[in-house]
Amino acid sequence: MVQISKSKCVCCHRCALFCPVAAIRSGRDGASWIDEAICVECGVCVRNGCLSGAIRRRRSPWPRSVRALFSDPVTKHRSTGVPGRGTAESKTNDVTNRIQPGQVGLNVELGRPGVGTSFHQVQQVTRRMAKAGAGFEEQNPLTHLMSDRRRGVFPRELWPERVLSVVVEASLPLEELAGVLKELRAVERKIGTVFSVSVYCRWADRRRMLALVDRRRLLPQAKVNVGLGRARRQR
Amino acid sequence: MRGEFIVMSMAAKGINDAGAGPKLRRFLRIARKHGAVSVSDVKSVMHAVFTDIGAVESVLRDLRRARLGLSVTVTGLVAPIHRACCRSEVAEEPHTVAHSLGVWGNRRRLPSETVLSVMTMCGHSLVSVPLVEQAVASVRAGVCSPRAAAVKLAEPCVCGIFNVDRAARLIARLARSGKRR
Repeated sequence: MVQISKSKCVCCHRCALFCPVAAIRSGRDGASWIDEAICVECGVCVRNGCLSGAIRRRRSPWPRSVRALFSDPVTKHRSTGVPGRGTAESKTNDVTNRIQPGQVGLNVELGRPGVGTSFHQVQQVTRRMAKAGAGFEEQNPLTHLMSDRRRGVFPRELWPERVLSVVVEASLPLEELAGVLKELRAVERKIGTVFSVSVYCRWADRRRMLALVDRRRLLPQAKVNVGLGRARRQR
Repeated sequence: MRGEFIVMSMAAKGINDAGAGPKLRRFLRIARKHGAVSVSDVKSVMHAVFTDIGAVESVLRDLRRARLGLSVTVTGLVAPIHRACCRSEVAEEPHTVAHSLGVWGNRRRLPSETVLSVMTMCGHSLVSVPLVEQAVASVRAGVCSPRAAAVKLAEPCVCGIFNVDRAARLIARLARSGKRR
């Protein structure tokens, strides 16, 4: 939990400028305070927002602890046992071979850019994806928080928790991609946040994959794993 | 995006991460040698930002010769990256490609496209809208240069991927467009 000490606050409101989710307000006395319902515990105000040392962070108990886990890039996922917000996705596929020929990896990042998301909203997406046959990535911390992975459901106590962004990772056969994207189009009309969608596959499958997506949505830039990685046996 | 390429190197956990430290440092030395505009290391993932595809080609050539065995991903426009891959003799075909389908959902909650293009340079969304707006206002008022404003904007970006050069150009453009109104 992040709090501002009234006695140390010099009322400069620098912290409010730095807050990515506009969770910092100023009271009648001029001192800044943090709206705990909105704060995602990203740590920006602690690291950059205060020159007088008025902002302190304490470790939050479960389920609030997920806020920092998913919002602060320098926090490790001890509760899920998986580091970071997700796997290396396509970035180490030349070594892991997680996505095989004929398969497609699908990433849905909710809350980014700059809006944030709740676990209830995350579940709106994951339930639709599960319904269309997507299998959630085992090494993703979000998957470990699901109470029912087959249906993409999270424990009810997590629903109100807000985070800056989360990455849902799934894989599926290429021919099923169109069905999952159709479900995502249905949820985008109802959801109160934003989400970024990315798809990845082996280079040889690129044309087949691009034929299944709406070209109008396709951004010109891509992440290209050039294939320099080599697996080696470790103890 | 035409002038920005991010070269990233990392090891795969449990597969080739043992002893990866010296290899990652070697990656950074190669990136610096070829004029990376910024380099960073977060959780053993190295990022190097380039503004010239020719430099990326040279980096890939040196990485191939160095035989580090770590995964290397280049973010940017696909066609120039593919050409750089071939010319550097890394491979005729890259291994894997990830395409973005953009932002979906309640887009009314997003700021303007230009502000977005500045704040999304931080991959973790740690650069706020008010901070971008204040940076633009400061440049417009002549309080600081676009570069100084961009350096301040880069502060919250803990992974260091924020491209100060590109941010300075965008801030200058935003400041100019405001003056005309």
